[in-house]
Amino acid sequence: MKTMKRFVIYAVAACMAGGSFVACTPEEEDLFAQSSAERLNAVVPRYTDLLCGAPNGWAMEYFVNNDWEPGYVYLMKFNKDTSVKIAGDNVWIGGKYTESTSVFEVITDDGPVLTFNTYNPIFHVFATPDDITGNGAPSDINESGYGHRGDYEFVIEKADDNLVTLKGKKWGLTILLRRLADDVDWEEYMADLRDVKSRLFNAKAPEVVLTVGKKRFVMDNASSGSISFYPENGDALTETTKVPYIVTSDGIRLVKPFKGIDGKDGFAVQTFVMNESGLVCTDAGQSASITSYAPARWLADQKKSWIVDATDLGGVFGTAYAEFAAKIKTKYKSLKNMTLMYDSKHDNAFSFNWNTSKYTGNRYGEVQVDDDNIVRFEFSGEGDDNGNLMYNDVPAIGAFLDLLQAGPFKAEYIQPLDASCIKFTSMDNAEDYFLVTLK
Amino acid sequence: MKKYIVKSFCALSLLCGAASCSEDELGESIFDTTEGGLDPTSYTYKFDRWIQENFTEIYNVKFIYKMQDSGTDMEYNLVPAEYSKAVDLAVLTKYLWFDVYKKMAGVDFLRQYGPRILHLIGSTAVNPVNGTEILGLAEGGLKVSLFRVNLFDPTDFEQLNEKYFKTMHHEFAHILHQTKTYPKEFDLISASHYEPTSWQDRNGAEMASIGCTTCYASSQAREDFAETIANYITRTDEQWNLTLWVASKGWKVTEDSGISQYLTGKNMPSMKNYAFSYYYYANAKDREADLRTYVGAFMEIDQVYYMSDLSAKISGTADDSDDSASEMKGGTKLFTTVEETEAYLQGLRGKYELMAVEDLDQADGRAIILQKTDIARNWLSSAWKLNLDDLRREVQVRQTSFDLEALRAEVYNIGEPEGTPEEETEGEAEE
Repeated sequence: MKTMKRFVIYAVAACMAGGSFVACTPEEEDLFAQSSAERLNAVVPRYTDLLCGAPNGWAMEYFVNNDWEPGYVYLMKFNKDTSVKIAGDNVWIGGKYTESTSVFEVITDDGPVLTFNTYNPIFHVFATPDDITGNGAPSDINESGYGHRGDYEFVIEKADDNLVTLKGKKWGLTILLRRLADDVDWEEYMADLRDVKSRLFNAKAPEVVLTVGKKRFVMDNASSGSISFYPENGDALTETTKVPYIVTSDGIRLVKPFKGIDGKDGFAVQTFVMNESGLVCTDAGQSASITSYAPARWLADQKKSWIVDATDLGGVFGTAYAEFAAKIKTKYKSLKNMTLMYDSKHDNAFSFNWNTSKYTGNRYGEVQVDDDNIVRFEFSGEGDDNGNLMYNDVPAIGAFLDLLQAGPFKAEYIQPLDASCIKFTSMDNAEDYFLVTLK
Repeated sequence: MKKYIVKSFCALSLLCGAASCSEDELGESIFDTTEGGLDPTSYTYKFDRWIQENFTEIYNVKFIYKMQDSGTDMEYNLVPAEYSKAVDLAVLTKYLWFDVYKKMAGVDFLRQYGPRILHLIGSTAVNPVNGTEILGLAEGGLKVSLFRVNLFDPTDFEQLNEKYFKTMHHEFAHILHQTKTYPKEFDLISASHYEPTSWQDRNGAEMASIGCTTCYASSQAREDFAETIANYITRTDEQWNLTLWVASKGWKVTEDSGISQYLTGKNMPSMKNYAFSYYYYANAKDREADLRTYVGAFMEIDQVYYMSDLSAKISGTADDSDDSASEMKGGTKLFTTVEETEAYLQGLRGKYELMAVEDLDQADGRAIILQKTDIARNWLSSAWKLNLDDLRREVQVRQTSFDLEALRAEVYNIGEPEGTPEEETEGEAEE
């Protein structure tokens, strides 16, 4: 109590001393050479010059404030005449590379602000307060008055020649502008992003795994552009955190760092680049990776059907498939596909299956996959009526089955995070292979 | 169906308006009008210069088309106006609003009482809670904001009229009455009918029948006043006469969802409720069961009033909220005039004994609308020396005959600067 009183007395005394000091020296020297307003105004030409100084423009990594859609990349060339050419390529602007020019300014508002202050149809679409339909938008929510919740005014938080960090003024998300190399062709840049996206996640095999130290999280439905994280062996209904991400030229960046389900797991991962096994985190001090589940998981899923890719078979499989297709077409007029599946009409037995426009045949057996993704097929000799009849009529069916049984095969994904396409390569001869894709 | 608001903020009006009047010096702009304020190399130079010459220098008006969100109500999510649409709205704002009042009352009238700031906003301002949409704002007698610029379609006259031209005159009416109040007797005429919070759920025909030109006019007296003036000025003769015809009828209003489903199936917009002005009994059995076939249906599509050939069989004892309508027919044919409507009804009279829906509101809507128009007419004359009918005539001619291409050319044909400002606007500013 005494201490408190003393403090109060000293504080009052200090104030009085300060007050008299001010009174005696009315011409106190300014701490800064310019007023705060002058300093703020001075950054306008500096930031304008910086933005216009990139001859090939910038790539904006743009997010909107909802959890069901991805971030979008926009390319922007700022010009001294206040025009800005913007290019985008996403489903909300027609799903193809599109350019449009509008106006920008750097103004002083909440600090220096980059504003796109005339409407650009390919950019402001995310701030337009209309209801949204299709393309993954929730059908049970009327977004009238809100739209996608995207910004078009951004506080400039940090800036250098290569990276400008912006913060959306209304919705508060961090948006990055990365300087484009002078020799980058814009359309090729966007096409490359599409290519990166196509090599990442697939809706048919929607689950991959984030591993951070000893913690593992299922990443579900990532192909939607927003990842649903939940702990492996956790409850997908109650423990899911949805985090949108953007596809970059070498991987992905989450809208904000993922810190585990309750945010107290002691890590924060946001940026990943592709490597041969999937994606690896590049954030300083973080060790994390994103990988697929092994092929065994998907091959054991009795709800999945795998179509043999008729366009890419190697060695003996190419020859055997050609013979199989020719004979089936001759005998039964057509061949739709050859499939590995589980037959729901036969106690979900693993089946070598083929389909013509009129007939379906099945020969049953087993598939075994060990921890090293070595696959063995074994067929019992049983089949359904059609399968048996056709098997007896067309020796090429049996010939292909024999090749499958001869295995074993090494099963590998063509793209490390896309489990919808598996390549089976003979362990005896790497020239002998076939591919299957998820139906 | 959305309801649209042409909204005003009157709370600050008297004080701000007075301050504005006392501080303005006519003929000198409070905004930067020097050539130095414009960059001849700017992407928007031609438009900026046109604005400077036609709004800033003459009327002391700041015309903002490059949006700053902080200059708007941050509660709403809005986007900027598209450049080319902003040009269109700017030239029409001048031609249909400023030029009209300049011709009727002179430059000084607008300098003294016109808005100081015009702000164009690209999107609608939708209130997600009740679905209402703001078309315009007049704030403090100084600033008018026009919304939904990006939806501007020069080929759709009715929408141009309802969503833009009417909004201009509505907001200006606010600015004028925020400066000199209109007679209090106006507020008393429909005082018991105003609904500030639920007007958007009302039916336009029913509101006309109590003497309001739109549903929004039935929200509160000052909006009724602005709507009366704006609708009288901008609705064509045919539209105004149809409004008065609707106002003279009694209406059976129903919220029947079956009618909505029926219209949706016909690719017609549905409404929250439907209103019918006549009915007949299709046969003796219906008469005995009091099953009425209602006709003479009122339709409001994007704020424009129509009559239609929609008919529906509804029990004479059904509540407004009952979903009991059956045997819906028509609904795709819209009548825009009293004559078309009467001809349609006359055709029915040849087949059925047509009975008018009883007008239960105990108000002669037509007489009340005309009474309100008279009050506005007299107030404009006495307070502002403005002749409402001359104003209407001028606007009617202009809004039905403007040459948008020629107006746009005023902007796009502005020559590149030659180092010194052009002088022509100086003389005009001194009128």
